[in-house]
Amino acid sequence: MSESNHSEMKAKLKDYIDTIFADTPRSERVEELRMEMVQNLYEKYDDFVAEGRTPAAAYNMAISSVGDVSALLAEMAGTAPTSTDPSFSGTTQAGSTGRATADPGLPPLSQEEKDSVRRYRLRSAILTAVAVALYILCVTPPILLVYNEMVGMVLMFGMIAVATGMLIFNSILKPDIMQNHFWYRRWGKTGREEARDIMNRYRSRSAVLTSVSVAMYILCWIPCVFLSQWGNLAPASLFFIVAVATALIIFNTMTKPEIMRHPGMIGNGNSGGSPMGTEDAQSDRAYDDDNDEDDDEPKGSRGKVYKAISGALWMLTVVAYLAVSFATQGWAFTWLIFLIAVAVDNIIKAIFDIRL
Amino acid sequence: MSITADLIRGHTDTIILASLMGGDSYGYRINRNLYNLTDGRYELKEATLYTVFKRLEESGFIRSYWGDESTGARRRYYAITPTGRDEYQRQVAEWREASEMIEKLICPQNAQVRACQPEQL
Repeated sequence: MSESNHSEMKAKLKDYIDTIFADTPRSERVEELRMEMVQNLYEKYDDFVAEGRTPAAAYNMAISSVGDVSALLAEMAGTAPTSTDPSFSGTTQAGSTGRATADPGLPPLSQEEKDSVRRYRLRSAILTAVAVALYILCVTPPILLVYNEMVGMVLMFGMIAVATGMLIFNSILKPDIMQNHFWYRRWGKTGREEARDIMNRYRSRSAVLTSVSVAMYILCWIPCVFLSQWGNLAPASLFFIVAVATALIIFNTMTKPEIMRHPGMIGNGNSGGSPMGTEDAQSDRAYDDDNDEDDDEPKGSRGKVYKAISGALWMLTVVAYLAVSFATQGWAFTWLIFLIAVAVDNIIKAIFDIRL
Repeated sequence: MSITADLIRGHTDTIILASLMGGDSYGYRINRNLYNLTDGRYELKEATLYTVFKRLEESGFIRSYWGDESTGARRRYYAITPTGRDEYQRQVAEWREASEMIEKLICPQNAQVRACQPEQL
């Protein structure tokens, strides 16, 4: 087998270890362990190859021998970083300033690059929220313009086209640095206090936005009742309110701070030793999805309870739909129940994510 | 096999101390040694290995240092400390006592079972 094939496999081994370590805040001890594990895995891989295994088999065997290091890492993350071996100075931690360096192998992002990520995040949140709102609203022109069906249809497809265009535009604008799966590891560390400020600010804003949108979902039928004599304005207003509420929730989720998506960014600042800080870091680790950066749903943290509630919700929705439809014979409108169910499902998701 | 694994698991600290009695070594070589000594029947998961290293180092039984390999990445070596040697002696003595007792308890004189006859193995 060629030498390049082996170096590729070794890069994969290193990536594997890096993935395991991605959630653990960097300290000197953690970094030492990471280097130690990588080095030992390399030698193990070399031995397997020397025994005549293929690179892929050697890689798989090396990986499968690692076992579960999560308990060890959690233990190491829980203790304050102390230098056990002064002779080792491979990495240093700028703890006194509250900002530590990122992964030593990767250059931290420049301020300019950070700004481009932040700009993209905000723009992406706005564009996606508006696009989804447009998708929801696209049914309103045909409803409102019953006397001119043609214009209604044109408007509807126009809205769909604009919304799709916005989403495509948005994905093309993604900064180059974010194309790399582990780009956030180059962000550099944010001090614990600063991180807590950012999280608290987000949480209070998130609480307001979520409660407003939940209220809008719950009350969205009221205009319908009052506008009933206006004919088609009633269902249109319902769509409008649902669209705005959904846009708010999407905007809110997508503007979640980086440090809440990737807790590894939280460094051991001055307050790192306090029990409060440690607790925070541990509870926030659950937020990390470790998926691609645009996947905003921390699936792991929602878990079984959400699945159970969501499953029950959809069962109830189908039952309610059939019951109401047969009772009222209003098949033309009862399908709206599903729309409401989507909204409720999203609210539950949001509640689970934000942990109100 | 699971009983064997459980039995060995209770002695990983002693096993690591024992492998360092013959001189300083590093993670992979220690594990490779265990594998060779047991004819490929036993090997520690890396997670276990590093957990044991950490525990032993914190107890002061071993210490670690980074090697100065001129080529390639550096290895982290472990060395047994004087307290570690004492601890090792103590644990071996404990094991001798325990294994002798277990032998007597599992194979009492009146058992008359083939499995208990050493020459039948």
